[in-house]
Amino acid sequence: MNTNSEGPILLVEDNEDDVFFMRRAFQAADVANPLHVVMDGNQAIHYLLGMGKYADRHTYPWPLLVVLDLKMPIRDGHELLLWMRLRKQFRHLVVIVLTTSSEQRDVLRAYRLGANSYLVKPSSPPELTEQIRALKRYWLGQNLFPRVELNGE
Amino acid sequence: MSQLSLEERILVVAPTGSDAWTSVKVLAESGFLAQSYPDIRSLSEAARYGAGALLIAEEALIPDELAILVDMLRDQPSWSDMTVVLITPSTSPSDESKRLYARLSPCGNVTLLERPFRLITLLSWMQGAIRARRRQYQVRALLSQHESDQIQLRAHAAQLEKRVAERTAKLQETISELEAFSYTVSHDLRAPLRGIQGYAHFILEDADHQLDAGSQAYVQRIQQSAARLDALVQDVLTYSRVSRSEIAFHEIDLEMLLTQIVGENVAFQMPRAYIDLMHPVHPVIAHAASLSQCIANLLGNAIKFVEKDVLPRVVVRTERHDGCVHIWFEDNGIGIDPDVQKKIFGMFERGHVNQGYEGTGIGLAIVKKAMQRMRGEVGVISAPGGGSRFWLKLPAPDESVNPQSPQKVT
Repeated sequence: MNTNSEGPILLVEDNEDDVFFMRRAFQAADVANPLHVVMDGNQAIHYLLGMGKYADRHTYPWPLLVVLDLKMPIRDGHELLLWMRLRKQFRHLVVIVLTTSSEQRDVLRAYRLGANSYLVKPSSPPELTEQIRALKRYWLGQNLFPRVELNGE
Repeated sequence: MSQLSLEERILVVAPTGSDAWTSVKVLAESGFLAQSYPDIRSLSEAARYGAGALLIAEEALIPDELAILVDMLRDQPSWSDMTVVLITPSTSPSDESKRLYARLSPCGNVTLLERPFRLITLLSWMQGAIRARRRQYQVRALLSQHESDQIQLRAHAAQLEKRVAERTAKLQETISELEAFSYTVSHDLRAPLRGIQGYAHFILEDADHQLDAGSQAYVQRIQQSAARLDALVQDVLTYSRVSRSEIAFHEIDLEMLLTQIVGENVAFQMPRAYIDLMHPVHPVIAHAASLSQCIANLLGNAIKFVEKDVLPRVVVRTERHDGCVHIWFEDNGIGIDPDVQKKIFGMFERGHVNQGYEGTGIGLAIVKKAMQRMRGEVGVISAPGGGSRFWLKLPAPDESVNPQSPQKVT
């Protein structure tokens, strides 16, 4: 396995059911990377900046990639994406959008804001597992990540 | 003085005791309304309030006052062309008469009446002048009617434009609301559905052995219901998208489109189905995404409604005539009862209820709506047991504009 792809995956997802399904799909697909979950855009910012309880980087390490839901309360996925891409230390962070929306305007907006990939949530667990397997194969198996120190460049 | 008499009076300037002076009396006796003025200035002033004709003895036209008369004649509105009868001193017009005539004639309808004249001549001339004047008044009335019509029309047009703007704004608002609604439906309504499907799946996966056969079947029913509701929600969303999205028309290469549709869906491929496109394939004018949706729905139906253990076969043919292309989809399915053939294009109408065929009953409604939006039509010819022949009718590209197009797709 590519040693470049070690590190946790940060899942930004407000729906607890979806979090549960994702955990099971990650398990079923044998993803070795730990999965950290934040429930909205603001929490994601706290995690990324290492604020509050996230200051402990042993428990909450710098994420290898972010799996981002679009529709969330307080600060939604697009807004979080914009926030990240406007900041030097998060500009290169790989973000995979995973959402229920297949509306072109959402897809277009996500890519314009700098998403690295856009996936639509399948409705059944086997399909989700298959999707996570594909994600693992490509992003964790083939993709080469930029090497970045903890606090930015 | 009434408006009429004001407008038909003959204004006269003639030195007292002259023949012109006499004529005023003659005119009055003959039923004309003649009014005498001491000079050109007062006559011109009076003429601005209305006059049928002017009668002027040349000797009254002193050079200083000529300009006043010229101005008055020039100031006439476009419809007005008042007759000016100028009584000249002798049969052979003097240089002075010629000069006056040259000055006045470009500004008005000037007639010279040479002395000596007979009264009957004068009367007939004045008669003609008043007749002509009446015609001018008729033109004036028509013009004013026309003008008021125009004003009314403009006001009406402005009102209509305002109403259109208001309606457009309201419609835009409704569309935005609809969009927000379908967006909510697609996200908020489908999220709990995914939950139901997911947890039902996990019950079967995790607790399969602890469930008796009945409970297992119930959980499967939950999954099926959730899947069906999900399909319904998605179809309703597709219907609303087809109804509201902006569409642009292009020349469509049907062979390419069909290859793409079949390639994207394993259910349309061997060994599950056999779809055959007959040549030549005529291009159509359509919105690619909408047409693709229509074809996928028709093919989906064609391969779904077949007898058990029969390989679904669909023959796709195109026919071009009268500037239109018919795309035929001929299947080997179970056919449709004539009674329900008209109804199947309605929302939630299904031709094969309770016969073991899955469906939301929206697929053909989507096709119909999409075809309406593309200025096309959809229809079906079918008999139970004899397969169905669905057709789409779309405009053909203009051959004279783009003569290469028919060859391009063969």
